[in-house]
Amino acid sequence: MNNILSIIKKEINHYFASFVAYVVLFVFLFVGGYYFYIYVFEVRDAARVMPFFLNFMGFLAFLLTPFITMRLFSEEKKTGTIELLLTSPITETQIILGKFFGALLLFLIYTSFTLYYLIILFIFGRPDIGPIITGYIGFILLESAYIAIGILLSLTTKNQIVSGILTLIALLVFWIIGWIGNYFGRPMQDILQYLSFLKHFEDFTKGIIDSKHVIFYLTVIGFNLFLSVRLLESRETVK
Amino acid sequence: MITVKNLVKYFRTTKAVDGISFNVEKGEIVGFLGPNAAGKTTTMRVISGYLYPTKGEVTVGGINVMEDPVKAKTLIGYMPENVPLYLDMPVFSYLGFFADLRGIQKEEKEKHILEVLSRVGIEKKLHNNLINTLSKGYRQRVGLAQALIGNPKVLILDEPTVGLDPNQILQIRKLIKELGKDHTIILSTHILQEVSAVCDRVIIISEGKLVAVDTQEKLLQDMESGQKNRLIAAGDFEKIKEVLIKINGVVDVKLLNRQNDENEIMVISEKGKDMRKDIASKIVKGGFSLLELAKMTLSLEEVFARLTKEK
Repeated sequence: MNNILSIIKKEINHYFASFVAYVVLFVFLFVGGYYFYIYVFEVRDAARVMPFFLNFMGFLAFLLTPFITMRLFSEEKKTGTIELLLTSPITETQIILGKFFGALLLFLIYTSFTLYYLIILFIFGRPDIGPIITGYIGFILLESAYIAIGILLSLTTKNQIVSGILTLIALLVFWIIGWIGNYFGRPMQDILQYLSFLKHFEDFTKGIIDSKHVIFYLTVIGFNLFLSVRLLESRETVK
Repeated sequence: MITVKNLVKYFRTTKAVDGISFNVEKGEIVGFLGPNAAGKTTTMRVISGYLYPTKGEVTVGGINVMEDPVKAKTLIGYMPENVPLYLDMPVFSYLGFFADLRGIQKEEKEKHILEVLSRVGIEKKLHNNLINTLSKGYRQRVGLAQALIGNPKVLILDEPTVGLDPNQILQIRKLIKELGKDHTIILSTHILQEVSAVCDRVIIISEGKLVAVDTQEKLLQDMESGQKNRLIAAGDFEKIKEVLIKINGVVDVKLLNRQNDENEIMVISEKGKDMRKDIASKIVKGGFSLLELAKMTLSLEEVFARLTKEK
């Protein structure tokens, strides 16, 4: 547990020591804030603003996550510091979990800035608190799934750019797979739509916590982290 | 302290290490010698737990590295080749991170890190500098400090002096020698003086195979087929040769070089015999003037070249 915390701490310090974390934060808040403004003036109904907004943030996070996860292992492999981690008396699982929660914590910090919009909504209107809470829970699960995929792909290459592009493509596939599904008949359509990150996220923003969606995201997270641990243990991708 | 048994390591289809076995006793400093791509780094990486062997067994302090990697790693301090570091971290927090990973308690952490820093000779004013602002020599020290965190009993140093200037090399060697008093150390190098300067024992590997394990003195003795003396004498070489070859025990006389009237001559005699007195007196008696006479010993370079070429 302590080892995981040490890695989380190191990762967070590392993010804020480089400009990437600030650039991503800037885009996250600037674009997010702009769309919040649009929704407020388009919808003009405090109760309906947050579902729209969180749906958009889910999309924005998909574009931004690769910038955060691409360096997680690619950089360590390129500089050789992975050798230091793997020869320290810690397990591979601890390394993966430390990296995972480090990146997640960074996104939680980003997300916490959007609570400011909630305050505005509550001052000027009567938004429904239920869907907001479930929406945030869904958003965090969605983001966690993004990060888990990003970690796995970051393990596969020394090159940060390649790692980032692979992650972007993978996440894009999981976003649009539901639309692609519409071109197929059953049962292909059902399968592809089941894999869509978007479809599972929608219910959360409507105020519904359905265990099947929660299990979907937890499965994606667990599967990717498990593969990452195995990949790291096999040393296949290190030299 | 370290046992390597029949270590084999493949990368895909290429054999990097081919059945190496050796022991390192507690408190020894062992030099790992070999040409580039001989398998030095791979062997050290396997011992440190970074790579898994294809076959064979490695134990450190009685613990099997494959079976209980976490416990084995607490016993090992490892400095990889080219000294990778988190360059954007300050020296002190960098070491703090590894102290955390080694489970050092908060109360002792600061004291321990300060101790290690003073041991490797990093001054107080540099403690909060970012590592990427440090010179190569200091980075090497930070890497060494990282290996020392947690007081591991075994140190594995992969080419610890590569890329340093001559002064820094001497300093790091001195430091390693000092660390050898309370650590078991394996260091790899392809600089032969380093082995003479620092190590108790030498392990020479070539193309993944062990070619020699011994003390430096023994290796040198074994390699010498006969005693060689080099001398410079003035006079006609053929006549000098006639005199020398008659000495009991002399096997061969060769002219190495000739300048004006001075001949540089190599006299090869039977193994283990010191012929210098005889040579000197015969030359003088023969009416030639002896200008120089010295025993020639094989250098470690020659031993190394022979051992690694044979294979």
